[in-house]
Amino acid sequence: MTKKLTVFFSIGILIYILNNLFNSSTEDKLIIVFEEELDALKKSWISQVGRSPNKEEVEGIINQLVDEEMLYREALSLGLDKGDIIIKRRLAQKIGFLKQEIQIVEPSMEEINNFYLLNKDRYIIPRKFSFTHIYFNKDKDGSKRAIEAQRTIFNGLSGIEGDPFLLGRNFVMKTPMEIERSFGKDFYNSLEKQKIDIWVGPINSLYGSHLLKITDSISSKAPELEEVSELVIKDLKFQMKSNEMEDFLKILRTKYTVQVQSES
Amino acid sequence: MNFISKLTFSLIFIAVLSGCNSGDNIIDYSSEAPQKETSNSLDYNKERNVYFGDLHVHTKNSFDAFIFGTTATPDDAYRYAKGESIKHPLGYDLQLRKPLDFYAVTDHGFLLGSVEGWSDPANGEATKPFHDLNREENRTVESIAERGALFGFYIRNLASGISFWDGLKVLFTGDQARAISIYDVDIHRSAWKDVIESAQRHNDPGNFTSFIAYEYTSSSTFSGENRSILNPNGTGPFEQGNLHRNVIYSGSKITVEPFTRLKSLNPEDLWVWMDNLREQGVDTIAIPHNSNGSNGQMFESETWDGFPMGKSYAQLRMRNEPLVEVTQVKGTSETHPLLSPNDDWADFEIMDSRVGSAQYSKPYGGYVRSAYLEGLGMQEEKRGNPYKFGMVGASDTHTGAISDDESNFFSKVGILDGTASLRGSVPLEQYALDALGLQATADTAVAEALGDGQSLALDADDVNVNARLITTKRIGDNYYNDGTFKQWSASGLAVVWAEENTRESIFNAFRRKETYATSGTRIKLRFFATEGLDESILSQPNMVKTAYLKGVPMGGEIISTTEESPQFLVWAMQDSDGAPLQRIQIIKGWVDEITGRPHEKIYDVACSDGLLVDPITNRCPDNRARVDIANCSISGNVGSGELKTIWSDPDFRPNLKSFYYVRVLENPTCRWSTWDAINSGIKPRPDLQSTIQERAWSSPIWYTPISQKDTDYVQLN
Repeated sequence: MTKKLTVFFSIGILIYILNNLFNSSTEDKLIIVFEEELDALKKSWISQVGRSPNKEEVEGIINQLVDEEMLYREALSLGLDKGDIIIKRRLAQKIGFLKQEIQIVEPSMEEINNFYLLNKDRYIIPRKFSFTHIYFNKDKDGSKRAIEAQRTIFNGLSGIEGDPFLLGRNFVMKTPMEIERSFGKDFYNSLEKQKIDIWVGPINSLYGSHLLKITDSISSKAPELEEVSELVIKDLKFQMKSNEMEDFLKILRTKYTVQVQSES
Repeated sequence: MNFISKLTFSLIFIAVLSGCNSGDNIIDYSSEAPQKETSNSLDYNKERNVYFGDLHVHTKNSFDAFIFGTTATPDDAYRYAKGESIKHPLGYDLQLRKPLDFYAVTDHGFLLGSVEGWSDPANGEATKPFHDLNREENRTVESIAERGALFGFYIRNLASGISFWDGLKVLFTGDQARAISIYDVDIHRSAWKDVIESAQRHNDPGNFTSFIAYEYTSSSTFSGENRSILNPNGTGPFEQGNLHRNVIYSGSKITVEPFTRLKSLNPEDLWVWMDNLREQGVDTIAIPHNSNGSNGQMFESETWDGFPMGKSYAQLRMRNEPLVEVTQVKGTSETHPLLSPNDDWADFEIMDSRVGSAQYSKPYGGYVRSAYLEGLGMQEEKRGNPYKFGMVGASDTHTGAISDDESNFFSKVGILDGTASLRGSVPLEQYALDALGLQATADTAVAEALGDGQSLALDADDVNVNARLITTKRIGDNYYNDGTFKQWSASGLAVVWAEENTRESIFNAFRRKETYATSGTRIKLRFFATEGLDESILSQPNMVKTAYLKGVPMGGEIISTTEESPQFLVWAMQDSDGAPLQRIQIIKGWVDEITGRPHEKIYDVACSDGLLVDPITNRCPDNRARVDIANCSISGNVGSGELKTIWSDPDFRPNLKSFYYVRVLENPTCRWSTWDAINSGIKPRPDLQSTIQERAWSSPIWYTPISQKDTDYVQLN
């Protein structure tokens, strides 16, 4: 058993030596750990763990980096990248990204403006209301009680409680959609016509009658470009990137010839 | 020499093993989220707000959804949830009437992203049946035959014939996926990464919450025959009882791979994996669904290996599965008419086949109410209670879009049920009949093709039983699709009470079980068990605050010190787009303290229109709400917008372990099958229910008598 092992071991060593003699090149075997790379890895370590790595941990990071580099070079020397669909796809993606990264010049103010004007409705901020309400369940004479309550308020008396409302009494900065969701469409249609800062009503919802006091309202507006500039620039760049890719492909298509081999 | 060779071999062995299971490494994706998780957003409410969502959504990444024609991405799914319009695979527009507050894309973990990868012709001959499957001109009803065959046969027979090298890979990674020759782990991981990044992009703390999640798609076997290291699940016969559950991650720290059925079919292994993650600071929960299709396996009384369940099993399960999905498109699993013969409302959207099959699924062990009773029984026997979960609803849509509107139902499996005739509600047109007929031929053709050179031979029985979701039924001069789709429903929603719309707040609500399920409607529901309150609380403006102080909300447990019944406070409000409420019920379940015999009783506790509950029958009188089948209009001026009551149990006995949960019923409305018929201008199909009562089910409140409190029992909070 030991003899066989020795024989195979020696054959292995022989192959190894021969391989080194004929196939190695010393430059391939030098791995340089660049400062920027190490810094980037340290940063991501910090964001994952929440503190700076200590000396041992930095060594660990370097070792991982080196291992990966070595395996990568070995894989290359064995030609593992040829014919691998995933790698091809990744490389195609990568040059695509690079193309997009390189070519994106910061858009000019004029371009941003034009884009914004063309797409104004995307950025409209809906109107919002803050209000407080007193609710009267329709099953319990809601209508009648609401009218009485309104009269009381009008006469300067206070202390009207009404019935508890499941979604609460105070609503802060709600959009029309949110109000409709909670009270129904008819309620919102009545609400938006009301004056603010006074008790109005009764207004009816699905659930009963309400007295309403709008405490604040912001009308819908097309915002100034400055207010939504981040969002606009993001959308503009996205559009520019997709255009860039198309343009790049158009140029490439003029450079390559295509032959389709088919049986027909 | 001997020592060195041994050392070398051991080092290699260790090196190989340590490289394994990199799938369980955890990566923090917080940096991918555009905004930090905030606390105290504008809507922060200590007494909690109500939020509606869906935790069960499939996109093109799911092996079956892609086969069904879905090309919607997770981004599309989240945009749909926020109220934007997306496309159905057949090309028409889908849009919610009202946006949702939270959503989780839960693609199947196993083969995630793989089928889309196989559809790329660059993969060559090996994946030929999938090439360009979802090109635009192939997204038609005629393509059903091809799709049905791929789903029914191809996927099922993927892992037959493992080579020695594959076997070793399976051995070291513990993942049978590695044995599938066309499986590519890079595609799997990068599709999973896309799902994660999409969720991070769309998470908007304070306004909309996305969760990172996936579906663990296990099913049961009859026996573990021929189990081996290379084949841990054994070979058939496969019972195919549905054991699926959705795994929801609480935050941004996610594993590189999900734990899939190809690692283990046994959910107990999933829970152990989840426990390990929790120890590393990553909290997850699993939400099982379709117990109705589990052939009784979902709520068993024995473990996977056939041993009686005990306390450690109960704790393992409850740590990881605090919630159950009680309703979704493939039927409602609250209870079954055979299990609850005295419940007049038990026959609600019952689906009684095993999932993905036409085989009958037996009721006992497949429904939530009997599971609750089983759990109490086990607790009585001091074996712990593994069935003390809260309830949520969901859709299980495979198009990225939840279909919860009866009047506009597009079901869930994309092209396969995307038209009314395919859903079984209107007669099949000639072209649809032809397409289904083609399916039968395709099934046989694929079966034969797979027979070539594969070790798994399909015989006539397999062809008939396995994937046949489609049969036709003749009624008069018409043929209707009579497969399982006709039993499906426009359900459901998950609803929580949480301080604000953020991941942390909503996930805490899941853990507390302060959740409820609806059949797709947006009923708002509060439920408390309190001590020391009376009717006067109902008109107090701080009623909810007091209820929290003096009792527990839905999902809680009351451990009583008095001899009197707790007061149960229920408050329900109708969906502004739905039908008015008809009644509130409380369903009580208990086990006899001497014999252990389970009992259930349904009490109506509040009636609409000012009607009173009959104290003898505990029923509301009929409020005469009706539906006009000719046009689906409902009776006006009948029903209530809001119902509120405080109720004590008239049959209360202080020594009984029991649970109480709320069921709220709307006035009747048309079922989707009737709407389909009306929208097509024809009479509804005579052998299907024409109307339903949409409803909400709260998580139970458990009552535990203090003298019998099981001190070993770990209460989750």
